[in-house]
Amino acid sequence: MLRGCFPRLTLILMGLVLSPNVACYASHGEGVSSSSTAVFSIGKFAITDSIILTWIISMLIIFLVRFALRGGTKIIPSTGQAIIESVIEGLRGIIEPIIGNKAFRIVFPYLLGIFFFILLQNVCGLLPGIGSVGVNINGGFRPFFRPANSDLNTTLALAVVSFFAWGYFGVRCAGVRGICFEIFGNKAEKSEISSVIYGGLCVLFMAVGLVECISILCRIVSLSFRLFGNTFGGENLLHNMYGFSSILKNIPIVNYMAYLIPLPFYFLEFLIAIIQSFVFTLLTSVYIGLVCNHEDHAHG
Amino acid sequence: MVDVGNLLNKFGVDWHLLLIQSLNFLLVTFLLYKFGFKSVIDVMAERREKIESGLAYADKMQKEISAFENSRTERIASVKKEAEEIVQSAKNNAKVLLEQKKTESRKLADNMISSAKKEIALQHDKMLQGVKSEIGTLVVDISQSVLSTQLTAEERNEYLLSAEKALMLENLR
Repeated sequence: MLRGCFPRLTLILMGLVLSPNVACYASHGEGVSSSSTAVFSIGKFAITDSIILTWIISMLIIFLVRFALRGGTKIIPSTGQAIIESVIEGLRGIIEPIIGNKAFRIVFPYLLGIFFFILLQNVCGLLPGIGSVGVNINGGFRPFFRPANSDLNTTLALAVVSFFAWGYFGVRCAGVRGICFEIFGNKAEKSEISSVIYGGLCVLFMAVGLVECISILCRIVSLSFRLFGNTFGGENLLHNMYGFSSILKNIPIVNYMAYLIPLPFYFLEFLIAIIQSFVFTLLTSVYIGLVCNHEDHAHG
Repeated sequence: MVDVGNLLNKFGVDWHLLLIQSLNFLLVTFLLYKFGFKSVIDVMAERREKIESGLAYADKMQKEISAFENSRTERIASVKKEAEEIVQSAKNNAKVLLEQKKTESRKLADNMISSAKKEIALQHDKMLQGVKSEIGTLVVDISQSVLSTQLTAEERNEYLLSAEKALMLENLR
């Protein structure tokens, strides 16, 4: 049943992505803005194009999941339930050994949320109308929708939430003492070495711990900029390819090829959308697993 | 040094937007889990449990079947042995009974034959007696007719005795 469903689903998504209505910022002769633009404001809060799309896609994700599970979950699954189950089972197979059995039950729902959120935000960013529907104000084009992950606010928010989730799950599974030992603790066996060397190692591990603290804080930057960079870079790539095809349209012999030029890059971006959501989820699980799966590693 | 504030401004980072996106993500994750993934994970766990218990039950049943098969084989073997013994004893009994019946029937047949022989002999004697008296009467009657005289009682007895002797001689011959 699933073998037939996945190619069909992929084709539908590809069809949407590659429809002739596809347009991007390039159609308006501008580069992709590095920041989102405010479309309207509620009091002091400016509602940007990326937030509007985030809300729409958030509702779409919930609707899609509810639609897939219409009629309730059953022991013998429906097609929609089977698709969701296969994704969950696939993620479970990869994430469970990383996080460990102890933390898996409490961490997995959060990781599922990250994966589906980023995946659908990335994929829906390639849909027609995203970035191309908007208004011209003061000679400049303002789109109504911007792919959520091409806005640093979204990726930074995800990274910050993941950082706090790491802390929360770490404390819940290993305790504050466990986290402190993991970062600053002397991992050498006291009985195997002399006390002088052991003392020296304590100082060394403390220094390493400080570096580790910096690296932990840098995870926010690395997670957010990796996702933002890939999505924003993809947007720019499509923009440039579309601009290049606009030039080709004016050349008589090759003008029929103009619309084909961005085509391979849409496939590439589709692939990157899946990979990036997976990478973000996997890295978050690795960070959590480093703290929560400490005992399992030690026993292993 | 990198001017972090300027860099964040360049990318339009604003704490309001950060907060909205964080809350939005947490809300979506919560709703997805509450109304979607939780039931799927529960069903998957239930299915795994059922499969495990089903496999354990199948394993248990397999062992029980194998134990039952062994006991059945043993029982069949013992019953077969018992049946063979019963059949053997029945055969022996039948043999004995047959011999007994044969002897009895032989004896009975002998008795019947001997009594039949006796009866035949008796009948034969009776018949001979009858024939003798008939022949004697005939001899007397014929003699009377041939001689054209009425025979006396002594003469009758004499003829009868001579006829009997003649018949006995004939019979002995």
